[in-house]
Amino acid sequence: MFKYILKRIAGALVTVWIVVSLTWFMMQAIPGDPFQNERRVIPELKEQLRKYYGLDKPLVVQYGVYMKNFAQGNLGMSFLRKNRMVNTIIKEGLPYSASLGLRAIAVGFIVGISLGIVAALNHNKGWDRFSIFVAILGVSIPGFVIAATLQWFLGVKLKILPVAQWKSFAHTIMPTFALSLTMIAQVARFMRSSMLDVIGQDYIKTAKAKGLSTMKIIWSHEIRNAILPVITILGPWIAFVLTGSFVIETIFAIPGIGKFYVQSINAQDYPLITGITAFMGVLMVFMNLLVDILYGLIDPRIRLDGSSK
Amino acid sequence: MELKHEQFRVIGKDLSTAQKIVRPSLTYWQDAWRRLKKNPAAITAIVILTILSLLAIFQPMFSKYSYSDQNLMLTLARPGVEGHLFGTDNLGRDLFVRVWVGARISLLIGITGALIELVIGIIYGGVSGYKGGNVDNIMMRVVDVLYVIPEVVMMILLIMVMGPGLFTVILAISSLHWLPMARIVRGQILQVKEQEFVLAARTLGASPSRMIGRHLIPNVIGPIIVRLTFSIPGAIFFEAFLSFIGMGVPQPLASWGTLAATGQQQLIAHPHLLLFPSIAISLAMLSFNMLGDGLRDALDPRLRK
Repeated sequence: MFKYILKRIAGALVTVWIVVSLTWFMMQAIPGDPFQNERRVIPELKEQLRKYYGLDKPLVVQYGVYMKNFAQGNLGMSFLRKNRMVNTIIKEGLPYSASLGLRAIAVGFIVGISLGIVAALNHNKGWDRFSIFVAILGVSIPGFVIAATLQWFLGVKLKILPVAQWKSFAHTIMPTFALSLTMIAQVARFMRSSMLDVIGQDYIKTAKAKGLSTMKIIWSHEIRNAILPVITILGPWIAFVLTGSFVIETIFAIPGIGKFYVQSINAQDYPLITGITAFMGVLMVFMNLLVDILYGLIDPRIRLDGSSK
Repeated sequence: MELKHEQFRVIGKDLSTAQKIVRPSLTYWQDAWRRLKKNPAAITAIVILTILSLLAIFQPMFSKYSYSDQNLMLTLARPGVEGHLFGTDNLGRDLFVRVWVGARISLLIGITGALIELVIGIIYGGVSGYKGGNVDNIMMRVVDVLYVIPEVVMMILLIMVMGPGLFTVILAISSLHWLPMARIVRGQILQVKEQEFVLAARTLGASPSRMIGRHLIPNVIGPIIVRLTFSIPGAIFFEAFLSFIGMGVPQPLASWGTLAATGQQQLIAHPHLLLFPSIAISLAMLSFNMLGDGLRDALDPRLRK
C-alpha cells in the first residue's frame, strides 16, 4: 500500500510540474510585458524596471526563478491590484470557494446517491423515470441558466432568498443548489447503473436465499458494493465543481477565487491568471490523487491492478 | 396427466416452408433505426434538433433585421414590441435574429468540435490499437499525461495565447476533447482485431490503412457515434462557459453563450435577454443528450438498463 501511495504521489508531482510549466510557457507566448502600456515612463526607466524584475534575463533563467518561487509557494504579484500578492488574493478567496465547493459536493453526492438508489430499487417504475428525467435535465441545463433562473424567480420575484452575496445560511442555498445540480444528475445516473449491476449479481441471490431481510440486503450488500465505482469518478467532479464555481461565484457576487479569476481574465492581469491557473491545476491534480488513494484503501483490487482507469 | 400415443397425429412437413426466412434480414443500420424509432424521447430530440437547425439556417436569411443592425430608438424592448418577437437588446438589435445567428455559431462550434475530435480520435486511437506493442504503449502514455491536464485550464490558456475568435474557441475546445475518443477507439480496435475476419483480410494482403478503414472502424462505429452525440452538447456547453467568463466569440458576433452572458448582466430589469438564449441552449443540449441515450440503446442493446 505504501509503495502504491508513493507511486501515485510521484505521478501527481510530475503532473503538477507539467501543468505549471505549460501555464508559464503559454503566458510567455503572449506578446507584451507589464510595462508596455506605461506611457509616462521613459524608455531608460523601463529598461531599469525590466532589469529590476528580471525580465531582461533569458527565458530559461526566468522559468527557473518562477519554478523556485512556485516551489516555495510564492505565486508573484498582481499587475493591476496595487501591492497585492497573488497568494493573498487566493488566501482571501479560498474560504468562500472551499465552503461553496464542499457544500455543493456534499449535496451533489448525497442527493445524487439517494436518487440513484431509489431509481434502481424501483427499476422501470415511476421513481426510476423521474430520476432519469432529473439526470438528463441536470446535464443539459448549464449552471448559469439554473443560477440566473433561481436568482430571478426566488430572489427578485418571490423575495424568499437573498439575491446575491455570501453572508448567512440563506445566502448559501441558491449558489449551492445551482452548483450541485449537474453533479446530482451525473451521480444519480452512475449510481443507478452501478446499483442495477450489483442487483443482478449472484451474491444477492445467495443473500436472499439465506433469508436476510430486504433492508439488510439493500444496505450491506447492494449499496456498499454499488457505491465503490461512484467514488472513483469523484475526482473529475471536484474539478467540475471548481469550474462551475467560476460562473456561480460571478453570478452570485461571492468573493471567491472563481470570481477573481474571471475578473483577472477580463482585465488581462497575467500574473494573477497564471497564479490562479497553476493553483487550480495543482488543486485538481491533488484531489484526483486523494480520491485514487482513498479508492485504493477501500478496494484492494485496484492496487493489485496497478491502475484505476 | 399421461399423454397417449393416439392423441398425436402426423401432419407431415413441408421442407420448402421450413427453410423459408419469414423476416427480412436487417442490416446493422436498419436494425438500429428500428430500435431508435420505438424510443419517443429520441424521436422528439430529432424533431427538435431539425427545427432548431432549420431556424438557424433560414431565419437570418429571411429576417428583415440583420444580427448587427442597431436601433437606438428602440433599445431593450419587451418581447413582441414592434415586430421584435423576442424583444431587442441594449443596442436595439433584434433578439430573435440574434438567437438564430447564435444558434449557427453554437451549433457550428458543437459540430466542428465533435468532428475534429472524431478525426483525431479515430486516427490516433486506430493507429495505437492496430499497431499495438511499443507504439501503443508510447501513444497511450502520451494520452495519460495529457489526460491529467485540467481541460478548462488548457482551454483558457490557449485562448489567451491565440486571442479570442471563433477559430480559437473551436481549437481550444477540441484541444483535449479527443482524448476519451482516442481511448474508446483504441479499446474497441483491440477487441476486434483478434477476430477471424481480420486475420482473413490480412492473409489476403490488405494494407494497414485498408484494414483500419474498411474492416476495423466500421465494426467499432457504434460506440464512436454514441460518444460523438455526447461531445456535441459538451462543446456547446464549454462554448457557453467560455463566453460567460469573457473568452467567447467577439462582438458583434453572437453565440448562445455570449447572448446569455450579456443577458445575465441585465437579469433583474430585462429578464427576456437571458430567457430566450437560455431556453435555446437548454433545448439543444437536452435534445442531443436524449438522442445520445437513444442511440446508445439502439446501437448497442447490451448496454441498455
